[in-house]
Amino acid sequence: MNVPTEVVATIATTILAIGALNAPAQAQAVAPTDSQIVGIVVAANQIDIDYAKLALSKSKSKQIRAFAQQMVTDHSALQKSVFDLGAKLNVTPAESDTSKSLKAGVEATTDKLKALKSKAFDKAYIDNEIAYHQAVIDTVNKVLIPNALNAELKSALSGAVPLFEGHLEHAKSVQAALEGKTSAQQTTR
Amino acid sequence: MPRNSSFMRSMVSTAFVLVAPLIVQVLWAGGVAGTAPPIFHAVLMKDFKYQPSILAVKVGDTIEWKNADIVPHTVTAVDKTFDSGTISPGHSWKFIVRTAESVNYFCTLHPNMRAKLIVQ
Repeated sequence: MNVPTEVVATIATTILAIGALNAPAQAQAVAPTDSQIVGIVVAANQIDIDYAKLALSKSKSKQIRAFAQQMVTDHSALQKSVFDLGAKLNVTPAESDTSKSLKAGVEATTDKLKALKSKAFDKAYIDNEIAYHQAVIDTVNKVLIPNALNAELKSALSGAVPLFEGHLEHAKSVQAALEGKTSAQQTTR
Repeated sequence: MPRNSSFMRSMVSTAFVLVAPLIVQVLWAGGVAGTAPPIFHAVLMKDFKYQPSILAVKVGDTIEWKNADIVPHTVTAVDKTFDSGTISPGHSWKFIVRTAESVNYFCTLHPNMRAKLIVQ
């Protein structure tokens, strides 16, 4: 099943927006502040929630729907913990060029995904989830954690990485199942 | 001699009173050593991992899984012999080992979370 080129391009744009943060620290014009880091995490979280809600509204695949529902549940829980921590630390989420780029890329990706149907949508959605989570993991590890000044924020970011890694592995198992290689259930044996 | 006989009987009685509890204690301990009592095991679900991921248990032991993550998890045997259902953050679930068969288990919500019970 081929995914339209424009969808791949749009997804790539979104990933590049995150990936821009992955450049070496010395190449960063300005390191993100703690407020901006929280803002980026909030934006990234919301993006995946919105993608998942779109999948729930469009897909009939049992595995896609289960995965999407899990993304809503987990990222909503993470979002709450981020807001709670921000309130505790008196850190207000702030916009940055990165968070703005993320949001802009999402609009285009969402429009393209909306135009797809059935298996084409399922494949584009899960492919995007894999690329998206990998980019988020890289960004958190290479940029957000090293630049976080507050120790509790730094620790919380580190604690969130296993969640993203779990989602990435889960997404890969769903992708394999869609491609008929194995089932998500079988991968646990 | 009658006085000596009475003295001896008194000594034997005293010795018995002193030694009998020790004998009982030794016999009881021997019995316990032969059939170890059930043990309580704790498994933490944290950072999307079961900790420990491999646990050796015996039939009759109790295992408690506690969810220390911010998202729900399950404890589900691959062979479906047990299933906790959803365990919310901060909650726990207990299971008593009934059969002498090792089993792999996982979280149905996060299939990458896997672990194993080795039943001895």
